[in-house]
Amino acid sequence: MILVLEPDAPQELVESLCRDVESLGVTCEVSRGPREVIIALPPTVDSVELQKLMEERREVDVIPILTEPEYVRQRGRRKFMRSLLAGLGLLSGVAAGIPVVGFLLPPRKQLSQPNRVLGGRVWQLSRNETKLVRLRGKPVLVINDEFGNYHAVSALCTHMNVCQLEWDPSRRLLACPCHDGAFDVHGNVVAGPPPTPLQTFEVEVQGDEIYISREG
Amino acid sequence: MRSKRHGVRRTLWRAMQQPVSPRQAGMMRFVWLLILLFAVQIVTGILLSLYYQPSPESAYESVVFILRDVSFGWLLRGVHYWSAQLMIALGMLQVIRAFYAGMYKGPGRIHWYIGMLLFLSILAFALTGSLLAWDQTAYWGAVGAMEWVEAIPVVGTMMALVLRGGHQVGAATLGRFYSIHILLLPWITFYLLLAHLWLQSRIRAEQVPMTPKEK
Ligand code: HEM
Ligand code: FES
Repeated sequence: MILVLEPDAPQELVESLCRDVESLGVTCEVSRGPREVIIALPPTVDSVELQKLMEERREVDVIPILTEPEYVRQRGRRKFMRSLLAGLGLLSGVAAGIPVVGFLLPPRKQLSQPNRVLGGRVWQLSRNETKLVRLRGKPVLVINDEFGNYHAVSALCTHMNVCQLEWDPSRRLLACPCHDGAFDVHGNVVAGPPPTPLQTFEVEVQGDEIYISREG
Repeated sequence: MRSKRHGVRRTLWRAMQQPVSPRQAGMMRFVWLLILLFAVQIVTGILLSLYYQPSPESAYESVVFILRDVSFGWLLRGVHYWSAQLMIALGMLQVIRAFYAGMYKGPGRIHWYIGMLLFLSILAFALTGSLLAWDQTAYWGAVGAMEWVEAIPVVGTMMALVLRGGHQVGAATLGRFYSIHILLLPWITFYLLLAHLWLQSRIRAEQVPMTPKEK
């Protein structure tokens, strides 16, 4: 067991440490080097007691010295742990590598996205009401206007391409919550900052089913 | 250039090799965990940026594309997202811990300042990153955050203008946040972490704050 101090440790500190150590009934051997001061203690010292004593002294790091059989045992354990770690590391490297390689390969461009979806049923949508559906991942509003005619327009306000329009039944308009933009049922801008009309979609009613589609 | 590189490597090497006293060990475990998560963010972030398009017309669609069409895109985006959440949680724990350890005083308080800057840069990552998905949540989040920036006395209004690139959150904001997120912040964070480790490697035992038990 050795105690290690900063190289500029004052003599009083070293002496008081030695007194502490000698209270445990062992001799205290001090050696001053250029990089640290070392206090060497015989292996018979009670390491638990010593740790306890040194915990109160913030200037000191306690470093245990092993006996030879202990060292051999520890070395074997280290070797085992190292190869275990290497194996696990390799395994997780491969496991993490598979998704990365997959990600880097060029994706099969949107393959099976239909250009036509069921937008709802006639009885789900009374007059002056709308329903939100998705066509190729984009939100589309199906509108049943006050005269019972169906329309379908993109639900994304063209101003920022982020805010989702909502039907305002009293004004009979699509209102944008972000900067008060508004569109009519045909997608034309009637108020606010949006620069362009909304994208429109075809509506077909077959029986009680409403289909939305886009060209191309 | 060469010698600078050498300095970086040496700092990292030293920090990894240095024995850590039990008093410092808890803190350092957190720091290394944060570094690991940051490395994960760099890898997944660079990969995401291959497909992500920072323009209002295509940002949201490019994210949907990553999630749906790119192999393992859902995984890499999920990892980027969750690792970001973990970084914030760890950062908070670390700040609380450093506070209770009294790191803000005494000769080692430079660690506290660097740590706080690191925490701020993590938050800035989260703020700028969360606009990138460009959906309604992201949009309103940024609007709210910018109002919050405006509330800073004296410089707030100008800061908000610079960050937003205008009076409203729009295309310019998306571009700016993207650029900050992937160009500016990674380097700032990298050098802060390096400074943290470098200081750590020269700290002396008596500068480490005492744990309550030791007191
Ligand atoms: C150093 C490199 C980084 C790069 C190159 C990078 C790149 C990106 C890219 C391209 C996106 C957009 C994709 C998406 O929204 O899913 C993104 C999103 C995001 N990033 Fe990063 N990022 C980095 C680090 C970080 C860090 C350190 C944080 C930590 C707090 C972070 C937090 C986020 C968040 C919260 C999002 C939004 C995720 C979402 O909407 O699902 N990023 N990042
Ligand atoms: S986003 Fe709709 S009005 Fe500005």
